[in-house]
Amino acid sequence: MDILQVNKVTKCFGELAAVKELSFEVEKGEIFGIAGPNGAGKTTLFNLVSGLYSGSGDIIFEGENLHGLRPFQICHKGVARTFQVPTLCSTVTVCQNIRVGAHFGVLKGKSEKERIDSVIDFVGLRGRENAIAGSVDLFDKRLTMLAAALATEPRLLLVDEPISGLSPREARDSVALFQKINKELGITIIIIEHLMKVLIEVSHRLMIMNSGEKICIGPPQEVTRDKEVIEVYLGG
Amino acid sequence: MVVKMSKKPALLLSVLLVLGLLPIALQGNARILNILSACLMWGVVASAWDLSIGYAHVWSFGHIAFFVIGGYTGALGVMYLGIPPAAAIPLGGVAAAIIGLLIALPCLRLHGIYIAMVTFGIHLVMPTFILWGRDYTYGATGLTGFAPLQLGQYTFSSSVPFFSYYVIFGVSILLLFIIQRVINSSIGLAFMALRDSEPFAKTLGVDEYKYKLIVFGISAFMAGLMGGLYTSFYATISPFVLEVSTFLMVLIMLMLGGLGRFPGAVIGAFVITGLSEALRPLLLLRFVILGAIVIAVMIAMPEGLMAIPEKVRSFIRRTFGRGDVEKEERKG
Repeated sequence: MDILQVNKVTKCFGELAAVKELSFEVEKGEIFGIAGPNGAGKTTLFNLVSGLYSGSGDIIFEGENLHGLRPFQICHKGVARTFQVPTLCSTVTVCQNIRVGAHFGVLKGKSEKERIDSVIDFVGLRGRENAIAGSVDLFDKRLTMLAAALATEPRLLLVDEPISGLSPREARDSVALFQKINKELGITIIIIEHLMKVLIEVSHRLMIMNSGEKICIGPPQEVTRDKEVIEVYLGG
Repeated sequence: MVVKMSKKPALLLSVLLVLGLLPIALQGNARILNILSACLMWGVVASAWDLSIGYAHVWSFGHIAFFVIGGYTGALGVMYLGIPPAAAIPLGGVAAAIIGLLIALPCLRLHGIYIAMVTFGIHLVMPTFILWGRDYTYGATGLTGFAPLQLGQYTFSSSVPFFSYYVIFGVSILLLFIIQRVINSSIGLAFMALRDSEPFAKTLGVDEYKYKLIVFGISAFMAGLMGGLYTSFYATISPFVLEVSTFLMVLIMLMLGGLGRFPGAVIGAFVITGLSEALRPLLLLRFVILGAIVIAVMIAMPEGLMAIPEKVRSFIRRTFGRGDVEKEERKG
């Protein structure tokens, strides 16, 4: 069963089409990887799904068209995201950042405090929750973004290059965390990443994009053997 | 049993006690009491502006226009509609809030300097509107002679400083308390989230339009209410208040205290109003001295006076902290 259907979505910046007539589906419960060279339109796609950009075409989430909805409304539908460059409230504490998601991202459900506490423990930020978010290291900034997104109780999580800039150990911990989020919380994840090794390890299916278009989609082992993918992205 | 208070409430209580007892200590010194009243009023105006600029990063430059709208609404209401002054003052706040919300609508999709341009436009057209309505507003001369606020046998006026100080003190503390509550509420959290990272806030469920409207509404209401109180206190309001010097003075109070660092704007208001009055005998030279002080503080501490405790703590850590580490190392 598909949780997300992207149908002929296009986004142009002037003459440049960052995403061109893109169509694909994401199944409920899977980890769906997206890779491609710089400028392939991966982050633009996330901005379209999360409502930060508006484009043409349909983005159907759980049977409902997200077209025309503003980011906060899409969040309330059950879509959360993180950003490639740590994007958070740097002047307040880690806990306050998570509170933004817990307070504004959920219309009803568990108590706010309960949700904040459970995500702090889940992502492993306990003990650093009272530090100012702008002063913590890159890994903790990424964990804070992720925890704030999880505090909105999403059913679909978009994760943009979560490994970039992390040490090998932090990268391994991140991969394990995404698998735990997927398995234990049952959240469908779409992950953009440049490190193919990580994507192959974590993803159930992979999509490779180039110049705003999909060039291949399927199980990781098949995608990495695709001639066009090797030519355009992986190299000989 | 010894009840221990945390540092912040104890400090706040001490400040309130000092401000509350000052009129008695000053034995009703009219000049100083009126300066303190002005400090409190401008402190609230600057703090309400801080909600918009410092906390929500909504660069509204129409704040003094809202203040004047409140002042004129109150005075006109008393003069022509026979509204009691006690009701006309909050009515000034309501009128400013309504206009603030109307101005907010075209600002919803704008950011930064573009909001500043639109809102400063309101400030610039205000004198023209006042002149157009000269049959009622008396144009450049301004309004005077309206009935003052009367509470029992007491008149609220700068010529009755002891009683008037306590009225202004009460209203100011109430409004500052509300501002502090807003900052620490979920509304304040939304303001700060939108200020620090709008995409982050929006994708976590913060409705940026709603909170832009809220910040315009609250800050305009408070500016308008203080405009009404100011007009009643000085028994006059004129387009003179819209001169750039007032706008800059309040902006400097805000910057000097520290943007987004409540109650920095109140401290800024006390410093600037106090210095301005103390240097008054120097005539025009006082503006040069005031300007030089502000420039020096801004260069040394761009975060404003509210950053002083942090700077001191950081200095102590740098100076004495190393010793502690060395002691620990020796122990180890």
